Amino acid sequence: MERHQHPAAEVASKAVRYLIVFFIIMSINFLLPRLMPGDPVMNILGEEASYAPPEVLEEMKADWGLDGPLYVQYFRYFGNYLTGDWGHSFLCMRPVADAISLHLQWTLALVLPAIILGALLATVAGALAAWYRKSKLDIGFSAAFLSFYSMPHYWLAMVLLFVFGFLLGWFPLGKVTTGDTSGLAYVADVGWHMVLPLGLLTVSKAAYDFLVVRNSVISIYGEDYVLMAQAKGLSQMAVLFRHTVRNALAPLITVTAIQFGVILSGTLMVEIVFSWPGMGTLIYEAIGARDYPVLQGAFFIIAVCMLAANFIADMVYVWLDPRMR
Amino acid sequence: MSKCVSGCGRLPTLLFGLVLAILLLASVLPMAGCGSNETGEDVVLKVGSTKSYKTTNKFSDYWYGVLSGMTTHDSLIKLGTDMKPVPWLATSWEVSADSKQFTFTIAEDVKWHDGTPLTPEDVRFSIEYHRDKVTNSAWMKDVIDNVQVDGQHVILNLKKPYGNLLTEFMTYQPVPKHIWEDVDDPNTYEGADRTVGSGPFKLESWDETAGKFTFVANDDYFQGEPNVDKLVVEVFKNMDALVMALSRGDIDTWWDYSGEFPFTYVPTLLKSGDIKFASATFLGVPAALGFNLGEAPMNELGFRQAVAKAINYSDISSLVFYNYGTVPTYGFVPSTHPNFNESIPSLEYDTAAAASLLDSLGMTDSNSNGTREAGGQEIRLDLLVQNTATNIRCSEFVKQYLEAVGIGINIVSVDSSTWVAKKDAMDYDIVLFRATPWGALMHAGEGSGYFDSRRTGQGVLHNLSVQEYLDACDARLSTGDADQQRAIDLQIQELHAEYLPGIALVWIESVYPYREGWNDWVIDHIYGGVVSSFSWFKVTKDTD
Repeated sequence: MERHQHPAAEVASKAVRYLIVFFIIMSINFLLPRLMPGDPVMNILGEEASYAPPEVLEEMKADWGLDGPLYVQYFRYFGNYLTGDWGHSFLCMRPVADAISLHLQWTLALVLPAIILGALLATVAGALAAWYRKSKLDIGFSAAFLSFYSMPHYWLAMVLLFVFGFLLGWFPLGKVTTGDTSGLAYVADVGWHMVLPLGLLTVSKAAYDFLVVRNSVISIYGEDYVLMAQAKGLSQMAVLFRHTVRNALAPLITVTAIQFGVILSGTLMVEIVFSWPGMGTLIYEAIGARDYPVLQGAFFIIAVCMLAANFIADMVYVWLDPRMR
Repeated sequence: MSKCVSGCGRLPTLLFGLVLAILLLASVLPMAGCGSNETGEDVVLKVGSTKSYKTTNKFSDYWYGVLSGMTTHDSLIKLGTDMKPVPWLATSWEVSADSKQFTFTIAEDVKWHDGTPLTPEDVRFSIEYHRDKVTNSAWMKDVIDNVQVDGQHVILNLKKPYGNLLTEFMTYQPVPKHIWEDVDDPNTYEGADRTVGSGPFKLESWDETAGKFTFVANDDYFQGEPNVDKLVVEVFKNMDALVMALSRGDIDTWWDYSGEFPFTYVPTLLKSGDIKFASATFLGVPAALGFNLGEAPMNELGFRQAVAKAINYSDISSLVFYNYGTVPTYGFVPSTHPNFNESIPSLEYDTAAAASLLDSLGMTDSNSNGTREAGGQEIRLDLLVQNTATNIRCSEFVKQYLEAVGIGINIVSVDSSTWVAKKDAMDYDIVLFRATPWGALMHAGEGSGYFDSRRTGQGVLHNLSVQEYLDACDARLSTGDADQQRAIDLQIQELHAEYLPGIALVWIESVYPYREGWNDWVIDHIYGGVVSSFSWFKVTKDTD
């Protein structure tokens, strides 16, 4: 006979699991930047390092918390994070929280709608392709989404920028806003700037999710409850979207939760092409400069978002599939 | 139950989701905005840049620091188009016979942007502030003993002779004492008055989200009002978008500190007909090879000479630098340097001579596998390269040339920080590097800053420890006499040719694009490009 845990015990067990994962992530977060070859002090001073007396270099290291053995730096790092002190960027000396908040909000402004719109598009297209599999619709959708899936993002981004931004002049050549606007004009301006990168990310997300949804719908196509719904005389669309898709969404939820962290930091090439001030470019520049505090802060945020996304996925799973309760 | 009711049941949910997504998008957009006072009568210059700007603190943001040096802040002197120091905030200067005292006469009637007069006391304060508080000015601690003010004169008494002080001061700008005297850590100062300078432009706004600086002309500038009323710097994250913006007319020109405008874009822009190019010989060296002189076989002069002869410089010039390059000499620095040594011969591609030199060193290909051996082992060397497109391309050519004469090459392509770490650990055999215009002038000049073994720093090889060379550098640093400086400059170039710590692969003619209608630009050799302190008072825009 299967043993069921008390709900409170289950939550506690999950919390402990998440805490252990979080601790491991935080430790890797500390170690990873320091394992990279290179010296942040040398990066900041550049050619001027030649002139700096050794005591000045030591003073800089002490100011930046890079003095002392690694384990001392490790405990200092944990202590600082527990007190909410993320430190200052080595690269530009401003608080890490400020740098991350600016970049994070613009990443979320792009990524959240892309995830939602991409998932919606994939759900509808994937479900229809599966329902009418081997039809022209299925072949057309599959060919289109596979093509998008196969295209490198940065290449597609450059094509979009060139065609719709440069040749046709319909959209700006990247950036978030023209500047010098406020209120509704500002929102409209940002929306105008978002069309190309958002469109690209939406299609990219949908291209992957389409295959997941299509396969998932096909796998439950012959289930008894689907046949029952059809036997009841429901319309094809009702059977598909009310009874089939809902039960086929679990893999999409998993994929989206996993993708969330990747998308959060992995839109680097799109950000570069569209001059978008997102997390990808922040992390990329921080890696180049060995800017440990920014790297730690950025990976910390991504880890928290990943854990949160997985937690939400767990919850939604239960809501979607009563067998999980 | 109607089919339609069942079938359409999810539609409102989907529509609701779509509306929710749009609302979510609107709600997450960070609100910002600032006013504009642009009028049709203003001369507005729009400049594109791909540098990464973070703050408007010139002490903590390297790139803004460079930008502010051309716009909001003035240095005491500047490097003129004839490569000689020209007066700026300092109207004149004197150097004592022993090069231990420098006296600058400060211009009168100069004002900070907030209306406060700029005084010699501000200059004294700034020099001491840089020396004591600004980390990358820490060299001043070793050099400057004290600073005194006497009327309009600022007198620097040095601890030791320092012949390169004038060059150093071309990139340091005074800051207002009344703003900075209470600021202990200049790097973290957030006050809005941190952008106040004395320069030809005042910073009106910096919109980090939009990637846009707006500067307005300083009507009260001591050298007169600039010809440009408003300067807008648009920041892009990639060159393709910037070039499209230039081609489309969104921006008027391009600027990047000491960077070369990528030649790949030139033909397309020329075809458009709306873009013109100014050009000047690049003061630095865009691509060069350096040797790890502590390891065999690089420690053999004959081997380095063989490498120098194995390289096809003309091909690199035409195939990597699109025919904008010329073949360098053995002296390393290009002819734009004021004391260029014309007697040093050009590098020459001569594979037979290279092979002969290697043979004479006993480096032969005994097993005929295409790679020579030295001491019974195949010569296979690590070529350390920073992973930029131009570097990779250059390194592939170098590999091909060296392998053609039997020297095996492994290209080790790494990011900038790893490159610095490996270079400083001497974890390479041959290294591909570049000398910036400022870098070619630093230390004892003529590129010596890259080779003197006593130095450290990001792009610095510190590979040559021959006493004759170190003495020459010291002698150059300790004299302020122009004739002596010239003699030592010539000697340093000769020593580069004699010892070959590095080989310039190419010298180039840098090109600077700008839109038709703008005229009379003046090129700045240090900061690079037509966007320069000199252009503000010369450049004109055609009226329609």
